Amino acid sequence: MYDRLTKKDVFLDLSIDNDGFDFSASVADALVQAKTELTVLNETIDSVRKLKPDCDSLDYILAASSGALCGVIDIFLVGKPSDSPVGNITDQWFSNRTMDFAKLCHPKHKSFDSPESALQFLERRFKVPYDQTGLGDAGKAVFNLNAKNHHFKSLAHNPSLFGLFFSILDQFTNSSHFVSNGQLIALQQADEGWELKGNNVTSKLFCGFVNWVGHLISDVSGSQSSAHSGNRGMGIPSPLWTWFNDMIAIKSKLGLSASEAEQAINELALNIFQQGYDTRFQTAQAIPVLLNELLVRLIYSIRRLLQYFAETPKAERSFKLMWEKCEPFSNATVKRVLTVAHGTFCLVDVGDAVGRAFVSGAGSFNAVEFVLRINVIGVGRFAISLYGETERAVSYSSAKRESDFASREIVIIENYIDGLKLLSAKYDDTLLLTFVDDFQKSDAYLNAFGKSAALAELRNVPSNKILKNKSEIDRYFRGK
Amino acid sequence: MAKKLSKLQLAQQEAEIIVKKANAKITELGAHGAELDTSLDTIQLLFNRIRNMPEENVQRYRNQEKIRIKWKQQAREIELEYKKAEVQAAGQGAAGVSAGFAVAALGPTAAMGIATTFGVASTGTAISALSGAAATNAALAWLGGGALAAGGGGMAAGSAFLALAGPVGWAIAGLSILSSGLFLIKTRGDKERLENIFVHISNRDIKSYELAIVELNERIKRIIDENQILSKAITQIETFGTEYDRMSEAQQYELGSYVNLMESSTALLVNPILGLLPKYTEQDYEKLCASDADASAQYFVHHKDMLIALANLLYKITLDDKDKKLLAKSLKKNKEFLSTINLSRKEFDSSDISMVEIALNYRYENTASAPRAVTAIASAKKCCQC
Repeated sequence: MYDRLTKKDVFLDLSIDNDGFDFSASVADALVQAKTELTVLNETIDSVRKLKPDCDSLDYILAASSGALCGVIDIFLVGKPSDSPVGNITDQWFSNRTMDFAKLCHPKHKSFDSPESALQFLERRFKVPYDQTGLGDAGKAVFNLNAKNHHFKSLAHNPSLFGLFFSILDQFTNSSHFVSNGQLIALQQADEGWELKGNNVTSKLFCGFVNWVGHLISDVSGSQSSAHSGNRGMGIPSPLWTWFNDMIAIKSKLGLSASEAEQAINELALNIFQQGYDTRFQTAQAIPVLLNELLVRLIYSIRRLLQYFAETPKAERSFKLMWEKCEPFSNATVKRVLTVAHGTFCLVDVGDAVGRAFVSGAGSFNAVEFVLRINVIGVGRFAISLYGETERAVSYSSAKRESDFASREIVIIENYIDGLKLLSAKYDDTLLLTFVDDFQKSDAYLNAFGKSAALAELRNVPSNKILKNKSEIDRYFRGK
Repeated sequence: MAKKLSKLQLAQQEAEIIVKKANAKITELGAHGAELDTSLDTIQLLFNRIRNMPEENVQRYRNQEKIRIKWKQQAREIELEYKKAEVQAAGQGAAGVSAGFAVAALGPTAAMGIATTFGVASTGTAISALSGAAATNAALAWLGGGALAAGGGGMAAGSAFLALAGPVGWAIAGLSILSSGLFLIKTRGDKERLENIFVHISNRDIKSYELAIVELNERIKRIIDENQILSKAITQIETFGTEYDRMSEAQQYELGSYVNLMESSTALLVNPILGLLPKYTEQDYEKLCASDADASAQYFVHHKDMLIALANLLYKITLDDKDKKLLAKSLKKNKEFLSTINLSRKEFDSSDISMVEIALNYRYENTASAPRAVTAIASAKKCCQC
């Protein structure tokens, strides 16, 4: 039994790992800890790599080309509301979605064969008290409200949280809020037959919200009358251009009057809205920007994919590694090429807008033409890219310091790990110390003696003090 | 609100804590070592009885035993020597600050215990094998008190560089002297850069102490285990009788094995602790001088003290050119440091640090690296298993 246990112990002692070391507990613990420290330090170094773009000249050229191409698409295919092939497509798309929505809301899910009938149904279904068009009501006389501007002037027609707030307020109080000539105007008892459905505040809030959404969708593709006459109609304003409406309303509630600049910009926004610059056109503007974004990310991935297959040996290939090399989302390189692409796009677009503004102004700058032509989505996207670049530049300098510090610490930790490996070998004596048990076996004494000499050698005992063979034992004990 | 500590202050604080931990481990090792010593004495006595030794041989072996393990007694003697030296050095200025700091931080007996048991003198001799003033000087030098020893204990001139060679010296005393130079740097960026260098030095020393603690744990475990093995061996040997020639061959081999075990166990008490060894020794310096036949050899010969001191300071510390210039600027302003390495302000600049870098690179390239040493040990073991 004892022998069997000893053999088992010896077997376990011989379980040497890949490096050839059999670590005792405390050295092994220290080694694990040191390797964890090393991993953390390496991660710190990697984190700075993520902040530093790694683009070559071809990356920049391709990004700029994509930006320029999409800029040209924007100039010729998006253009301005009255002259926009892409705008016609988005108009049609919104019209189709409106009909789909009408079908969805119909109690029998009736299919509508024309936008006119769909809009007629939706206008009845999602009736609101703030839909004065100025036709036959006091609005036209008092603050120049008409069918072309009432979606812009009405705060509740604003597709934003601000618009939602005024829509709920108007539905609860049967009122209607407008901004006109830099002033906030509220109509009380706006609709004599108005009643918000619902038995309690919660259900009324829900109905109010549904009404707001439904009414916006009924207005997004114009009105029933415009559809009847085959016109594009007035959609709902882009939330990007109703900011100053919101500002004027808030200031008015606070008892402050709108500044001249705010009034001027508001006037400009109204002007371009009346020329067809609504949510549909804004969506059309987003298309070349989105195309630019997709093209750049795709080109980035394809280039990295080709590099991956060219540089990675077959045996080392894996989906995880491929994804790490090619993913076009969370790295500074793809963000840098996007900045270049959107920057180029803006350059082309702004150049065109400025040129056309001067042409249409017959030598003087026509601000309305410029605003109609400039792609606000593209400018906004470029601004986000620039903000990211600035943020990364700031983070990089501090991360670089941390990375430099970490790379120097790695030298120290590696030296420590070398020391631990040395200790692991130096104290790997469990097998050698079994020589005492070996003497219990009848014929193992020679092997046991060999182990004792090896132990002394491992402990750096001076060679002349180690007994290595029988004659040295004899000499030691016989005193000769 | 408590003031936020700087990275360097935190690192120094950690270094002091780890030194105390190492010290506690050494004390623990000492307690177990005393028990092992009793067993070793007993087994040696049994061997002597079997060997039927003449009286003069017995005396010789007794002397060896005394050398082998008397660390407590020797530490006490060295402590007395240190106190004498301290009295003599009083009023001699700041020369003894580093030693005083190191010894105060650890407590005289413990500090001397560390130095006596595990310290290695500049000649490579274990301090435990020295005695009297030589042991005191070597111990103080190892602890970072060479300057004090030179003033009070009569250490040979020129050996003061050892003031900065010992690990305790760097972690506690040396670094506190050097980091005082931070106040002389005005630019915030430079100050941060220099502070980082000192943090790296502190962290390296912390790792050395961690390595020492790991090894001390291994030693303690083995001392406990081998004390039991020795006790069994003593019982076993007593059954063999005292007539060597009447014993069977197996018994004779067993006796021989126990002699090897006795020596192996003794090694647990006297072998140096890897983490507490100086990073760069005089032997490294001599190898460097012997290897280089070109113009830099002359430089090395004339800058021994500075080279060894700075090589110990900058071992495994990565510096770029700006770091070197800044460090040189800081050290140049540090009179205390310059006097320790026997250089004047005019003689010292960043090119000296570059030369130290050359010396260290030679050391890295030519010292058997851990993996190589490990491979050698592993092959020796495989042979033994065969």
